[in-house]
Amino acid sequence: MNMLINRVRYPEQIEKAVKEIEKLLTVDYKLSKRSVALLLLQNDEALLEEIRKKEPNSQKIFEVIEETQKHFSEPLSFVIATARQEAAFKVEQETLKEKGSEKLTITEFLHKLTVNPLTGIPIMVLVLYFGIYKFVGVFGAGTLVDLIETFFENNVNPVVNQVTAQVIPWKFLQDLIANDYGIITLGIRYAVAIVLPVVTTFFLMFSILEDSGYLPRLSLLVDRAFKAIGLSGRAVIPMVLGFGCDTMATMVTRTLETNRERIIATLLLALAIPCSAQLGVILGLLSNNPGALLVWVGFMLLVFLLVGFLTAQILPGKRAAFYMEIPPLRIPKLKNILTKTYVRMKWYFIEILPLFILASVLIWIGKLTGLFDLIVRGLEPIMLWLGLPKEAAQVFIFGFFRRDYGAAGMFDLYQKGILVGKQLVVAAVTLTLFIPCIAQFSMMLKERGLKVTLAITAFILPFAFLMGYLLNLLLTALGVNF
Amino acid sequence: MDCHNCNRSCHHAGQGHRRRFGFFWQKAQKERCEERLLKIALVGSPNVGKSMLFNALTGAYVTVSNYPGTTVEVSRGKTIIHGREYEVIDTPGMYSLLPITEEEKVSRDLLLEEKPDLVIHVVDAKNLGRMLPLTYQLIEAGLPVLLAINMMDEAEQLGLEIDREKLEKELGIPVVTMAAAQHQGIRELKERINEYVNK
Amino acid sequence: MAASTKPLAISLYNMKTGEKGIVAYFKTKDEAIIKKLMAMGVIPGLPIALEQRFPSFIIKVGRTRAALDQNIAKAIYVRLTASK
Repeated sequence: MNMLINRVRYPEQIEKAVKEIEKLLTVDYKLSKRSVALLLLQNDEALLEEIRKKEPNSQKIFEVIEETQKHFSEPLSFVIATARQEAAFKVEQETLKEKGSEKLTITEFLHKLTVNPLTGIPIMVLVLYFGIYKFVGVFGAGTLVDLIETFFENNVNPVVNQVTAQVIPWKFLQDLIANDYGIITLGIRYAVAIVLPVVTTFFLMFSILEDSGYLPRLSLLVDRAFKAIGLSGRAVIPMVLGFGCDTMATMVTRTLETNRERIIATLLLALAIPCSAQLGVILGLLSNNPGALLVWVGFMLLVFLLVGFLTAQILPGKRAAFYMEIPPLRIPKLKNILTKTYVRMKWYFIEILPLFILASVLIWIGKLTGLFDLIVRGLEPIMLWLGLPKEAAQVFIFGFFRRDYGAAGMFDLYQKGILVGKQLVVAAVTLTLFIPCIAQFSMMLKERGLKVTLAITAFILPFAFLMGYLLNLLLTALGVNF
Repeated sequence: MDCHNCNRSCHHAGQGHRRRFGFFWQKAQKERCEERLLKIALVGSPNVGKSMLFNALTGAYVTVSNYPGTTVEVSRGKTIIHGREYEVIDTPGMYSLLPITEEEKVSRDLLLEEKPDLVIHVVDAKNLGRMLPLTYQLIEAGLPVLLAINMMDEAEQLGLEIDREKLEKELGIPVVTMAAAQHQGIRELKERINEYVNK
Repeated sequence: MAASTKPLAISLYNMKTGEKGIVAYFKTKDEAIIKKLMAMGVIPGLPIALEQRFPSFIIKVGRTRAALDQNIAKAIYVRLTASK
């Protein structure tokens, strides 16, 4: 326990007030009395509330505070913080010596490049292009996924199917583990073949961005634009994360300051931000047709901005303020990046994987009971309304359980020639807008609560189909086909 | 020392023990109580490498859980110094004892409720002056504080030098300098912790 | 807030890029913003320099660099000392 508590001497009037309040305090707040007195003078709401409830002399204490304030033109919290800061600076001056600075110039130069809008914005576009599209999309979701999936298709699935057929006599039970929708052949395969490579490459890239100090610079570049959709530059982190995993991004929205921001961010994540698994498949689907890809990107951007803007107008609340420290740029350390990536991957597998296994089971039950087919049948007319083949209905149902299931299902239809031309884009857009996957949904429930989640879902469902319909109309009217 | 306050934090709890009678029984209990699990809380603003230090101290044995009644996550781990086990708690970022965000509220509540045996205030070397006010607040509050000045490698790059001994004399609390990301200074920190706790 | 006989302070929002000064006071009814700024080290008496205005304000306070939006820039008042 420290004996020398009077380390900082505050202005005369404040010291006097502190002594008076110390005498009036009777309850133990687990802090020294001096500290309590100072916090009360600084307008600490929680403590003020406590003394209001517990202190018999609370009225007198309030009077002391009021009296003391009269001696100063600035708020007391101000005066006290300033005195403390001055003492701190004095000590720093006596103990911290600054010699000359050398390799600062390179870091400074790079910094200026990243924040000056003329160079900064192109850099931002390049970073996002290479980081997300090239590394995660093409390499992770393309190359790596193909590699691992082929391994599964050729080596793992057939074995599992065979073994299951031998061990379990009933077909319906076999289907739980193996064949088309089994836990191992679909659930685990998707987790290892699609999720693992894509999410890993994403987290790797994100960790590099984080450790290099680039993210705050990204935030300051987009803050103004983000303000138009009711967010602040801070929100760039969950948004970028959303391209990796929407579920994790939804969890990260809790770092946003106001509830309004959190709701808008959650809505946009659920609506317009495709996760890496979904992104990978959609890019694979549309990459043969750059025109289609452009339409998809353009349309998603439009929806993102429009919905964000409108929601910001409708939702009441204070605008989010933006204040962020900009750390110096540094070369990330490999060990740290690997550790961070590892930790995030671990979280992903422990938190998310069980939900996808659950999804496999639910689909199995749904198929068994015929409930699945019922829902699919119900969705078919909507598909036709969007100008899509009725086979697409199944894809959408899958989309709830796994966004990439849905996208991959579409890929199958495309390869079979069932989904062609502008149908591809319409299906891609509608699927991206469609309700979040089961993992994200449960994270939304956890973070935003039942009411908000239901409201968001109730909006997204019809909205996604409406947008699909409009896009189809537009493309047909313009005679565009791909 | 109040023996009946042992309960949960006593790491002998749950182990079988031989019954001794009378005076010897009390003495044995007291000895066991004096070896209860000590708590170290890491405090400081975000971006000072607090989590890095936490990892360096605790390694892989970490549990992350929500502080009761909030959505704020708190990491807890264990570290061993000179054969003695400590619980290490990594608090959410804190700029001042006067809380602004929910995270700061949780950090403060945690410090008061959990009564750590040592509070390590982690600061960034190049922003020493900016961060000392919290050190002062912690000392004012009567908490047992040790100042850990991190990121010395960056400070060195900027051409900064810190007179650690002078600072220790000025503040009246133990001061340790380190660069947790490079695993520098961790051993010294552990030594000082051991010294402080066993004085 | 009384600006007595000291030299005039202008808001960060009205400063030109490259200008330097000392943080004088805050002018806002939003105490949360004041608390946040103080918690991060923007406190009267500290030297402050304006490095950039667009797309966000970038300042250097002491040895730290930070970005902030227009609203907050309007709330910080600075007494100019030197310009580039």
